[in-house]
This record gives sequence, C-alpha cells and structure tokens, in this order.
Amino acid sequence: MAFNALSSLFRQKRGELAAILVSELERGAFDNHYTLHPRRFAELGDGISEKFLHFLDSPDPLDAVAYGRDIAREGIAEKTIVRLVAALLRFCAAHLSDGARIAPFFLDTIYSFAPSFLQGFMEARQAQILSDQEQLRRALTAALQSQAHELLVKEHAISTSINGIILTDLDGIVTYVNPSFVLLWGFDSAEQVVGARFQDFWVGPEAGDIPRSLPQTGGWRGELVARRQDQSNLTVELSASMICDERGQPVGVMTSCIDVTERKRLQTQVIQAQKMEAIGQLAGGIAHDFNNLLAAISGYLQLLLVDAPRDTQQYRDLMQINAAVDRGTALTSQLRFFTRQAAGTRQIVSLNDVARETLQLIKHTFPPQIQIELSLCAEPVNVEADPNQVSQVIVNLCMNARDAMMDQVGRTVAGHLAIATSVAEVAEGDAPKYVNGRPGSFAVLKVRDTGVGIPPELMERLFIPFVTTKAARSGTGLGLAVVYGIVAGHHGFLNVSSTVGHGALFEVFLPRCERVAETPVKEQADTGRPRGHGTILVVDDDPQVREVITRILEGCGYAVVGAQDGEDAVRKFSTGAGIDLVVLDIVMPGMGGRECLRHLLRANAQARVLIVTGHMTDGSVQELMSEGALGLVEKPFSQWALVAKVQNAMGTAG
Amino acid sequence: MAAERKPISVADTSQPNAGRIYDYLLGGNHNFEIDRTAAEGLLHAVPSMPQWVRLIRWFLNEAVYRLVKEGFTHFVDFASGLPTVDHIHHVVPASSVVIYSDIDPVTVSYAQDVIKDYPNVAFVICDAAHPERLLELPGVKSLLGGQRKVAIGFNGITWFLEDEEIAGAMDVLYAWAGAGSKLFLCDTNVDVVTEVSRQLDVFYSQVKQPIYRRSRARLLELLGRWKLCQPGIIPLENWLPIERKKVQEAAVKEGGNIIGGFFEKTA
Repeated sequence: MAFNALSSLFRQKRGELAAILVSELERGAFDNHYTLHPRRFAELGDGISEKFLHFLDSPDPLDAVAYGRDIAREGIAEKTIVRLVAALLRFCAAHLSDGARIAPFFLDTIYSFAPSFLQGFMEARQAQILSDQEQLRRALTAALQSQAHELLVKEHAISTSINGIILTDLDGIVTYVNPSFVLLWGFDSAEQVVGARFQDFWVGPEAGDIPRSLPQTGGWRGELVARRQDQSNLTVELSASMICDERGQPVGVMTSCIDVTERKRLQTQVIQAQKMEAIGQLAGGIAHDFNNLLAAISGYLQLLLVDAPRDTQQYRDLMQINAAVDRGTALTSQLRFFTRQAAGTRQIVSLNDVARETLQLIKHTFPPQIQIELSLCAEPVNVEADPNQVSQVIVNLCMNARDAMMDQVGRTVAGHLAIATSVAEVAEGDAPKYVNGRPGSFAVLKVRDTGVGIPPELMERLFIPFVTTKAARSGTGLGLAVVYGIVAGHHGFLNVSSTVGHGALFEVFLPRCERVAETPVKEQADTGRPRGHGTILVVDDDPQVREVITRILEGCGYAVVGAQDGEDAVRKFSTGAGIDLVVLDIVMPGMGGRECLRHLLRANAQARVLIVTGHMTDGSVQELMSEGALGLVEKPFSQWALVAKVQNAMGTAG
Repeated sequence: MAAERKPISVADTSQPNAGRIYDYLLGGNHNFEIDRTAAEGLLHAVPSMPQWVRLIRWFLNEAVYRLVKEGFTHFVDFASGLPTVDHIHHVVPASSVVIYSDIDPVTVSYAQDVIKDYPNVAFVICDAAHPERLLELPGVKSLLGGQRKVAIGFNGITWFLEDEEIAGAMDVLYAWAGAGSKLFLCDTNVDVVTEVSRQLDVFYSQVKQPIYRRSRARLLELLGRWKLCQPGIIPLENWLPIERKKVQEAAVKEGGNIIGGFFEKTA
C-alpha cells in the first residue's frame, strides 16, 4: 500500500480517532493536572489526532518531540499520555489488519511516532516540575526576606527608640534592654542589666508590684523615681504592658520609659516664674497706690516744713513725720525694684568696677571672722545697666551672705565670702537649666558663702517679697526680692545652688555688652529754691497730688492750671490758655495719660509734656518718650526734683 | 464569633501546609516533602481527594467562564490561594479587573510576585470571614473604579468557616454589591458523618484548619438575601462534561458530596 494511501485512509477516519482520544482523556480526567479543564478534552483530542496524521504525511522525529512538549503544557498526566499513545497504536493496528502487506517502513513510521512523542512529553514535564519548584523557591525566599526585613525593622524600631525599653519575663527578670535604657540608667552595656530584677532599677517598692498586677490590669502607666547605676535619681514616666504569644498567653512584660526629669524641672520653673510674675503684679499695684499716698503726704509735709519755724517742737515733729515718710518711700522704692518699675539710668558700666567699689563700701560692715575674697575677671566685663541698681544687687547678696553666717543667737561664725566676676556663654541647650534663662553672652557675678545654706523648701520662695529667715532681726525680707527685680529688669537671670550646712552660691547673669564703659555722671548739687515763669497745666486725678504739685510750682513762680482727667486736660489745653508745659499723670480713669498725650500733641505738635507717675516700666518710659514726652518724674518725688525737671522741660532756669 | 484565624504560613516548611497539600492533590509542584507525606496520609483515608479538589477547581474555572460569557468584567475572589495558570485572570479577557485575596501574608506576597505583570490584577490580604476589610482597601476601590456590579468568588472556603461567619460575610457582600452582581460558591453537602469524614476532620485539625459541615438547606439559610440562580445548587460534577458515576460512588461512600451554585443580587 502506498504511503499516501495509508495516510489518506487514516485521515478519513480522523473523527473516529479523535473520539477515541477524547474518551481516553475523560477516563483519565482526575489523573491529569488540575489545569486541564474537561472543557478542553474535545479540542485536545482533535488536536492530537491531527498532529499524528500530519506526522504520517511528513515523518520527522523532531516534530513528534515538539508535539509531546505541547501536550505536556496542557496538563495531561503521565498515565493519560501512555493511554493516548496506546489508543493511537490500537487505532492504527485496527485499520491495518485487512490482510494487506504493509511495507516495513510504513510500520516504522507509525511506531516511530510514540517514542519521540513521549520523549518530548517527558522533557517538558521535567522542565515544568523544575520551573515550578524554582518559582516556589524564589517566591518563598522573597516572602521570607520580606518577613525578615519586617522583623528587622521592628527590631530596629525598638533598639533605636529614644524611649528606654526593658523586657522582662513573668518573674520580673530582665531579658532585654535597648540602648536608650542603657544610656538613661548610666550603664556601660546591656549585659550589666540582663538577668537583674526589674525592681532593682527603681526607688521604692512600687515598681515590684507592676509585673504582678499586669495580668489583671492589662497595663500600667505612671511616674516613678529611677535609680541610675551611679545611685543618682531620675524621674521616669513609664508604661508597662503584657507581651502575649500567638495563643494569647502572657510570656513577658514590656516597659517603655521616658526621662521626664528635665520636663518636670522646667514645669517647676515655669510655675515659679508665673508665681513671681503674679506677685510682681500685686506688689506693683500696691506700690503704685502707696506711692500716690506718699506723694501727697510728702508734698504737704514739705510745704509745711517750708513755713514751720525752726527750733520748735512743731518743726521737730514734722521732721519725724518726714523721716517716716522717707522710710515708707524707701520701702516702696525697693518694691518697685522687685516689680521692675524702677527704670533707673542705664549706661555701659564695668561689672568689675561696680563690684570693686561696692565691696569697698560694705566691707566695713563685715565682722573680722568673715574672710572676703574678690576675684575679678581678667577681661572687660561690661553691662548696660544702672550702676546703682547693680551695686544694690551686690550689697543685698553680700548682706544675705553675711546673715547666713550668723548663729542662732545672732553671733557671726567664721566664714568665707567670695565675690567673683566672669563671662559666660550660655548655649541654646543650656538656657532651660535656669529660671528665665536664655542663650547668649553674659557677664556673671558670683557670690558664694559658707553659711547655713538654704533648705530645699525655701528655695522656691527665695525671691518672694517679705520671705525671710531672719525672724525679728533687721531687714525687711525684700533684699533678695529686690535682687530678683533688678536682675529681671536688666533682662538677666539668677541661679542659686545650696546645700544645707554648706553655704550657698548666687550667680547673677547680666547680658554682656561689648561697648566701652561710660564715665558715670555726677548728680547736680541742690543750689537753693529755683524760680521760673510760665503757665503749667497739672493733670492728675488725685486731688491731693494735684494740689501738692500746684502749690510747689506756684511757690516757684509758675502759674498753674489744674485738670482732673484726660478729657479735662485736653479741653483746657485747647482753649488757647497759653499752656507752656503739661505735667501729666499716666494712670487715670477714663482717658488715661497716654491717650491724653496723643491728643495734646495732635492739638499742638510742639506741646511740652512731662510725665509724672509711680507705675512705669522701662519699656513704657521709652514708648512715651518716643511719642513725644519730654521727661519723667517718678513718684514720690522731692519738690526740688520736680522743679528741676520742670525747669529742664521749660528750657528756663532760676 | 470565631477567634482571628492564624493558619500555618505557606513559607513555614517545618510543618505541612493546607495550601501546599491542596496543590499536591491537584497535581501541582508547589509543595514539599513534608506536605506530600501528610497528603499521602489523607489519601489513605480519603482516596477520592484528588477528584474532589479537581472538581472544586474546575467549578471555579467553569463559573468564571460562564460569568465572562454573561458580560462580567470585574471579579473579586476570596481565599484564592496561589494564582496559578488556570486561575481567574487566565480565563477572563485581559482588560478585566481581578482582585484576589488570601489570609496568609506569605501567600499574598508570593502571589503578588506572580501577578506583577498584570496591571488589572491585584492580590490583597484578607480573611474571607471579613470581606469588608478587602472592600474598604483604597487600592481595591481604585482598581474597581466604583464598579459595584461584580462577580464574587467564594469557592472552596465555606467548609473552613463557621455558620455565623458565612452569614456575616454574605450580608456584607450583599450590602456592598450592586444590582446584577453574582456570587458563586461551593460547599459540602453532608447528610451523615462517616469514618471517612471523621478522618478528614482529624487531618485538617492537625494543620489547624478545622472543617465545618452543613446541609444544603442550612447553606441556603446562611446565604441570606442572595437569590439562588438556575439550575440551583447542584453537585459539582453536574456542572462539568465528565463521567459522573465514579464521583457519585465516592460521594455515597464518604457520606456526602460537594455542591456548587450561583447566586444573584437582583435589586
């Protein structure tokens, strides 16, 4: 039989062959790879039969191998492919058994299909298995790497946390600490900590209760005092929680710690500063009202003294009253220092010079048992300040030191007083260590004594007015309050350190000034009762103060017009009465002095206005000067001081 | 409510994994010796396992094939397992959107690598008992593009969920899906407990995936507002062009078969 006739014969039976193959596929449906859906059987059967017939038309072993590979990718199982090949051969045998002589090469062709077909199939299956395994290996490796990375990130999160983290087992034994914990507690390494008991790191027994209470409470949060390796303490805010495994069973405790020592210290500082501010405002208000009263009393007193005959009891009585008024004035002056209302006369002064001169003045008041040492900075230490106020600071600190070196019955014990000046640079990070501290370059005055020291409970109240440890002895309890007020008024700050029984160190920080110190201006001596002329408008809501000023000025020859408030002043100023000078109180009801000043200057830009008040801050004075005021008279004032300022403002003398 | 599931990860080669055993039973190569050893033990108890797992897989393929012909272009599948060559994204047109999900993060990670070249296909982590977690994911919302008429696959997972979990999931899916959406699933239909089913329970408890069986009637109750489509929920072999005799014999021996069907949200 011709080869082509054989092929044609089989091709006529193609449908039958395909049906046989589909049947075999269905028989082995559950043996195949799951990717071979039964829906594909019909198409597959048809395809295999076509490929076989094509092979018979053009026998090429490579084609059979390729057919095998293609079939493998369909998901056919090994069992199924053997059944398919067997079915193909049976089909051929059935249609060739008609007794005709078959040429050997026809049979060779038929039988050569199966091995090549199976070879291709097996090669593809093997490659598929290896590929699937490799894909699985790569994907699992990637997944495991992702997991490992996630774990590493979480581990880094704990180890790099700025919070101290400590892990313990359920018995409270430390199993892990992160570097922040090691640093906070002052250890050298985690090994020094692992294995210790949790409660060993805290002051007091409370910490030991935390791990025991967690199973009931679920968590714990609060503040405890911790003990470092060097036995120093720090305040820690901590939160503790249970660590549970995947079954929800507790396996340990995790505690996260934040050092709040600094925060609490700052909070205390802020509260202290706010308290001082509130006290300052209260004291300022009281000082203002007293100043007004004293101004009236002092004014009337001076008028009486002018007319009272000397060498009379009446005169002596008036002088006693005057002395009492002077003491009251001194007291309110000191209060004004505390409230920073005493602006003073600022100039560039050498702290070294002020310290030297002040010590020269006061050293005679120290008993010989107290050694005094003065150490001045080698380089210039200049500040822009009122030299008298700076001197006052030194005096008050030294007096305080002297009193600290007295025993219970008031006798001085042997002691040492050291006064030193220096310069210091306060960095941004160090400024918060001081109450009202700020970064910058500072001139520093240090006063150290070897007295009784300051108890901790007194430290917070040290600068509050009238707080004193001196019982009924001399002193008003305003010394340190004045120091505080003067230093704050000069934009400086203080630092106090002390241990009971070991003295105290006061450090005064004043902003350093690079400019050269100025020569101090000597005060003019009193040259007798001045005379002047012109019309002065006196504006004050207090009738007594207004009368006193009026009588003083009229006594000097001025014509005086009075106004009881701002509106009255503006009205009278605007009537064309020829006002040469306005003496203007600032604190008045209704239209206050500041607004009145603006109205006066609007009415006449050349108006001369002198401010009289007992309640001004340095900044307020500067503001009024910049708005057009000529000068300031502080209450309570002496009549000579008032008249001198008036003359200066009027531009006339005598 | 069942506690949060934490199955053995597919990356953990120290213990047999249900997903890898499943792959071996399907004739796949994504498994290890420890899985094949465990699977042989299962096959000894339930010789017909290869046929059941193939039927489940073929039902998924058949369901997607039919839903594509009905015009569905957006598919959301739960408990997808590894996205191998016969999975949804190989059956649907390339422009279709397919969102797979699985509870095992390592499977998800593996699968994301497999599908990375398919821009319309995503694989996210989700417990099938809480489908709302998948539906709320920003990436899923973005890929769906607001489309709510979707085909939802819940194939081969119901016997791993308790009744209340199925009811809860069905409720969430129904509330979320738009009108015309369809859901396909399969479940065991067990009338009696046999020695074979007992052995199956033991096996799956060892791989930390207990089996929950229920009747057809109970399943329909749990589907809630989803409406059963024709021809109903019927044995899986009835959906496929295969010889049924062998399958039916095994079902009788094992006390039940696996049924599957389509459900629709009509309004």
